[in-house]
Amino acid sequence: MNCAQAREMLDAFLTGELSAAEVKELRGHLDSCEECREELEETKRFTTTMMDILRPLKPRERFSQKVTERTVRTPGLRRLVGWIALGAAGVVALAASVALLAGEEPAARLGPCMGEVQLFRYSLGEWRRAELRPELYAGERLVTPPGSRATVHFPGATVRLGENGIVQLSAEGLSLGMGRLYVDARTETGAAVRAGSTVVRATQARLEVEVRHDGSVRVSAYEGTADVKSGPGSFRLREGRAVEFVPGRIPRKEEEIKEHLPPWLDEATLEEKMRRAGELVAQLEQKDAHRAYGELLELGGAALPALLRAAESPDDASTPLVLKALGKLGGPPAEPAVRRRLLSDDERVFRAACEALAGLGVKRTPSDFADVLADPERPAAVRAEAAGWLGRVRAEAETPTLLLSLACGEPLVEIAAAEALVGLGSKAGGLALANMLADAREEVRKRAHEALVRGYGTTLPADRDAWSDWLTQR
Amino acid sequence: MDDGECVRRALGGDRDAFGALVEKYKALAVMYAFKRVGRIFDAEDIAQDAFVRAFLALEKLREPKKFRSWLLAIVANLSRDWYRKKKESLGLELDERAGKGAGARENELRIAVAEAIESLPENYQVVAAMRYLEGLRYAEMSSRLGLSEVALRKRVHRANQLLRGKLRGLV
Repeated sequence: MNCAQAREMLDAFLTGELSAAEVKELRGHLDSCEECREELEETKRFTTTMMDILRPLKPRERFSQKVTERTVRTPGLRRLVGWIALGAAGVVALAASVALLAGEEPAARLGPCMGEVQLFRYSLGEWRRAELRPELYAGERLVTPPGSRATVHFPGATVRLGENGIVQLSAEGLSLGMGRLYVDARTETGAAVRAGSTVVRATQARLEVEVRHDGSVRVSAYEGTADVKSGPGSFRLREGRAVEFVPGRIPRKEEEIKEHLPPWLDEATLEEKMRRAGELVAQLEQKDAHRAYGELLELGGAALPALLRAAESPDDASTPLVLKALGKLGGPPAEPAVRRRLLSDDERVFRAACEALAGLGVKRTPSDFADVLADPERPAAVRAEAAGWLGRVRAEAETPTLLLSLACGEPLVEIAAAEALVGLGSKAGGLALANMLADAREEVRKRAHEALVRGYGTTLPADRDAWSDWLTQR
Repeated sequence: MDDGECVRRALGGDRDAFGALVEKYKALAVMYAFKRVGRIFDAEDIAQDAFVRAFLALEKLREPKKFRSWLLAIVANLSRDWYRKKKESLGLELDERAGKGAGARENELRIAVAEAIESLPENYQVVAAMRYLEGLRYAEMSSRLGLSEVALRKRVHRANQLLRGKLRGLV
């Protein structure tokens, strides 16, 4: 054995993973070679130090398992709940419930609903939208987008789910993933609600359970008492009291509640808000549109029905603001209406639709933008806007469409495509812009120069050769 | 099974094949994220997100054998997003990556070591991350990488030599 062979074995020797024969041979070499003995000590020291430094970064035990769990659930779950920013505890609550299989007997019946209540079933590896029907089965999930709410009758209770809510039905009761749930359990059978690691059971009682975005859970007993179990502890919540659980903290002290009902159940206020939203949407065409827009946003989900109606009518001066508001408030129900506006030939409407889609958290599909860019029938301003979005969403896969657009004959589109290419790190974009600096039209030269300065953050003069040389040397 | 084969099988519905890629690259992905954000738990979250995103977009990967660089590009993008959001929400300056508390010195050293590993040739990065960050033994590394223990000894030894050169005076 020579030194090189011996040194390759030192680390495995230190971990005790050499065969008996290899150990014998290595020891024989070490006995006769001082340099390799020193190398053994140095290997030991270096490896130990490196491990000490990097050990805190070691992925936790459940790293791979968590990735697997998320890849199993994500396709449906993300689409379903991403837009209401489901808190960590909510995910855990839902995860615990996913395993429950749909039973054969209906677990509950749907009562009166308002807005676009949605029903989902888990099948073939993802959550799929099902048609809303009176019978609900264990394992199914109800979702209330902004502006909607649902009533569900169980054998022992009637519950009402407020807007932005998700509940999952199970044989034992129901899990609240997000939102506010009012439970009227004035029966002997009563009800059980799971929210994160908190379980609430009650008979002859009326209560509210709320799961917030940050994963905290609040339980309020409006009538009767509730048995609350959270983590290892359990206690009885008295009538007229509320308690809050924040992950990782000691439960907050109980506080008194004065109302007889949760305020969000006040139907009269909601109807008034919806009526007001109708008025405000009509004002979006007027001069002081921004004031109306601000007030609309404050109305939250109650503004959604009026906005969706407006989004169905033909383009007018109010359309960009309608789309903007939908982008902020809409959630998935607004997506089809917004996406349709990508067909608009009005540049302002097209841009507002792109921005709204981004606001909805909809997976932006670069191919939508690429189709617009490649369509010679669409106005140049719209195609240029689409090219800009391809750059913004970093659509590397659409680079060929952008390259083709560099010679489409429309200066506005060519400049936007070239700028997008610069953003994607393609030199072709920069060189195309540099060439445009020699264009006969002053407007083209000016825009190309501005795009170059924006793209590269350097202020060379508007001279083709100067930029070409600079780009070539980069 | 090489990365390309794992990707093809994962696309065919074989979840274990994707699991093998997670096992192979998780340490490297966490280290890459850490080098960029300087926070241990955020780095792990970013690495996890990157795997989930990679899985969801797997069919877009044109060259399956380039899974590693594609994954690490996702990690880099997510780290950038994380940084931008943090900066927006806290007004953090970019140089605060290493923090200022008592652990700042260790964090700086950790970032320097991560940088050194990242500068190694690809083959050595994975073994260095597995050996030093995860503390894996040869038997486990051999099963994750599909390499013989003898071949691994050469690779670890070479990675060790290169790193000692790069980190002289620091480690």
